[in-house]
Amino acid sequence: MTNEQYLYVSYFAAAVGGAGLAALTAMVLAGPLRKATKTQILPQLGKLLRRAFPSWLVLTALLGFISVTYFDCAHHTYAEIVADRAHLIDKTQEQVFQMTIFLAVALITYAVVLIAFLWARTQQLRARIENPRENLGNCSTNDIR
Amino acid sequence: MAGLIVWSVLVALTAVLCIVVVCALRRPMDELLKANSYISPARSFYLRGFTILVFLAALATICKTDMPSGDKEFLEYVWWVVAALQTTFWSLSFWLIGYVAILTLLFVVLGRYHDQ
Repeated sequence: MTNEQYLYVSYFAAAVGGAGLAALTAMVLAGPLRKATKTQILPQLGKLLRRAFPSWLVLTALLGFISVTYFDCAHHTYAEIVADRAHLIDKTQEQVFQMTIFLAVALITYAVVLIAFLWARTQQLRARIENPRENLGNCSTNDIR
Repeated sequence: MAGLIVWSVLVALTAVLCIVVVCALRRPMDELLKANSYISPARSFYLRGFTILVFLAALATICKTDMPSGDKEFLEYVWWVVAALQTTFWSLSFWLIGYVAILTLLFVVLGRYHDQ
């Protein structure tokens, strides 16, 4: 395999692999996320969070991918980049590394967003329990389960 | 060939390390999250998220590690594995403390509410 062929294959394989890893993560967490956000309180927000989750993960992984550039001090042109196989391998490793790290950060960020959602839901639930006149439905602590 | 074998050993050791960390923390985390009914709906999300995070952290470290050359002595390979594992330990510690901080935040925000 020539260096140019390697560049083509590794570049697109890394992008597809990273997006696939993000999609797989979203699939694994889809069920638990549905369980956490599908309730009678704040249903629209819960739905939005569920819909946004896969796109958020995939976009963040791809952001990690495109954050790596092949150009540096020693490689100014395409010809210089293609001529250096070690540089190509190094950049592919860096792309995978960045996508994985970005994905982990995205997951942590979503965990914080979920905390905010749980807090908002708890506030609404308690407000409904404490002010029965404003209680539009028959809510209790069981509604959040 | 020797380099590939040593790299495979590193991958296997990292996988074992991840499994040990997840197994050690999963049950206490589960019990903690189950204790509060305001938090328990999100329990499986946080548990699975934790498992995925540990493996992502390990994968990030592994993919940055180059295979060693095949002309080393046995103990040099051992040192290479240990040095690579050091990076994995750093990475896992960092992400672990980050996740613990998230769970602490969760209980700071929602822990004051108790079941009716």
